[in-house]
Amino acid sequence: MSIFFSLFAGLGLFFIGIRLVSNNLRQVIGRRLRQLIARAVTGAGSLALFGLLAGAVMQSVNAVIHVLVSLVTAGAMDRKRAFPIIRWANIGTSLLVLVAAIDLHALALCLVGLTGIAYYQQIDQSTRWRHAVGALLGLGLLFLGTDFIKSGAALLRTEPWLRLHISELGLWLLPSFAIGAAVAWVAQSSTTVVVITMSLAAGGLISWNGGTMLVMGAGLGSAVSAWNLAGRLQGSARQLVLFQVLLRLQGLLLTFIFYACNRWLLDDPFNRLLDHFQLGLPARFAAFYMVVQLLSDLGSRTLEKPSLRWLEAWAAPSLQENLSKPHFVHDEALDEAETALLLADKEQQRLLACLPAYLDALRQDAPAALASADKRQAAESQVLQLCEQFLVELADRQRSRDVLERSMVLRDRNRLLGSLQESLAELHQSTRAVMSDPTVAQLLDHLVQSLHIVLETLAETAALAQPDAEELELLRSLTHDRSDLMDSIRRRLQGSDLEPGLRQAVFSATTVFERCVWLARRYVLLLDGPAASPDHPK
Amino acid sequence: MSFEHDINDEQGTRLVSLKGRIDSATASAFEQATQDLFATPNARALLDFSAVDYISSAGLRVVLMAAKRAKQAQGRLLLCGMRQHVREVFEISGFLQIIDSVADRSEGLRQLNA
Repeated sequence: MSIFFSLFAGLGLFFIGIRLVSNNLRQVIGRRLRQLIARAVTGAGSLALFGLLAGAVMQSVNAVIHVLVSLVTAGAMDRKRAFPIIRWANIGTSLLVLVAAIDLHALALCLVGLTGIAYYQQIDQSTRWRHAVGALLGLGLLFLGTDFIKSGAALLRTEPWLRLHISELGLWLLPSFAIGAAVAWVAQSSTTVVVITMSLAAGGLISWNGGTMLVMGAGLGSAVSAWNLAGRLQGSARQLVLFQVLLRLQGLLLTFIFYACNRWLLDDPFNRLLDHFQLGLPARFAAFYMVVQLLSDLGSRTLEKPSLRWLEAWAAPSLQENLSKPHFVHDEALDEAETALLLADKEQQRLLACLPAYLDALRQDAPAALASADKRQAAESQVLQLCEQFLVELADRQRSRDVLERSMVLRDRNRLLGSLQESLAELHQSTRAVMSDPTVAQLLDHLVQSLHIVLETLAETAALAQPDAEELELLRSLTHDRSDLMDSIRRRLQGSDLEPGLRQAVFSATTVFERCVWLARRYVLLLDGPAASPDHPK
Repeated sequence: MSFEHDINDEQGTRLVSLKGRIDSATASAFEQATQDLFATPNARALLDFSAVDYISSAGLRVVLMAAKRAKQAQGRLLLCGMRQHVREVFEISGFLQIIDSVADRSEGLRQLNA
């Protein structure tokens, strides 16, 4: 019974570890670290090395995919670079089989011990280190979980009932295949199955044919476990997982062809080749697993183009994912200050032009909103964060007074944009439920329509190459202080017999409206600032 | 609800009588109606909103464009006859700070011809 508890606890620790690593890595990846990783994985060689190491250390391609998903969704890596890493990670996991097994037990215990000390010292409370500590703890638990699973699997070998049934596996190929698939699925790792198979072979519990079926079944189990992950993901993250599913299935198909040709069409040349190296049965399984992995790699490379097209069609990046990606700012532009400032300005213009869309769900005559205001805010605030980091980095690199001044103005605009995004999401939140109530609908619609035209006009003027004095004067008039007007509306409502919940919603809407107009006015004042150089169009 | 408009010349002023609902579905028709109001310098135009039931941001945008064209042509644009709820949109949006308005058509014509 303890074997199953060990397997069960191992799976639990594995899942907790995966979640901790993924959540904390996303937070811990600062700009500098993202740059380092991005530079480390630019060339084909470094991609291969990164994939091999990640697969070898983590012993699970699914765990590697989780890390890649964190990197891709945090904007640290382009998803197209992640596909070859997954391919190499598969090979990386099989390297471990070749060296029998690396004992991660000590490393896992060290990591848990270290993070325990960090928790005791309250380092996890520090803003700077808490996510790093969380990620390390996650890694420790992930390794510990894998170790528990391996220990449980090793103990399985000693069970008499298993010995009895295992001896029949050589005769029953299909059940062997199914068992291999099931164990790989539960253990989230095909290498675990191969290591068990090698152990069984070393104990003389299994024949060549039964063992190869277990190894091939592990390929299917690995594909199924990846498929399970895909169900919870969307967009690029889903593409990465489905890529692994495809890779496994393509490999499985090629392995079946290889196995059939070797066994039935030809006179077992594979084993005759291994005879030359005088390999024992366990080593032969390791070699066979390498063949499975290499065929998977070959199949994936051969069918890469149609596979990627299919993935793009089936798991297109979600709208939220697209909204959270910058369109203009990118690290390479930081070397040239003028271009960097121009790109940051363009990014802000784009985000400013998106603000009216926050009101689409509240406007009677608007097209259907592409994304709700809160989702839009969550996604676009990420772009603002990137833009802010971009401008800070630029100011660090360029010491000229002109660049510093202009980047300061752009950072001020960035903050105003962030406040506008938050305020619009708040307006949506507070008015959505009462918008259809006839007693307040008209007033709320007036607020929404008015704010919409103010934001549209602001965005159009900001997009002009050189907004003239008249345009700016018009905007200043449009964004004049509305506090008296909003006060008069609130006083009018105070004396009405409006239901308290509705009154509160309208009060809140007038306050947010007032704030948005004030923020828009401050943005207009910054349009006069030195963000664009005199001889360079904005 | 549909949108209708009628354009007449009254004492040298282009009088645009608007009726119905001005929203994103009807704003293009409204825009066509106002497109040529300030084709000649120093032109004068009066937009009569007395029969307008609703105006959205799409309609406000057309009014703003007309006001800009009036300024470029050194002409004059006046709004008149707004019902209370339509006037409230103009007020909240800040348009009454940049475009003049009067109570009714006769007052508008009187001011433009003064």
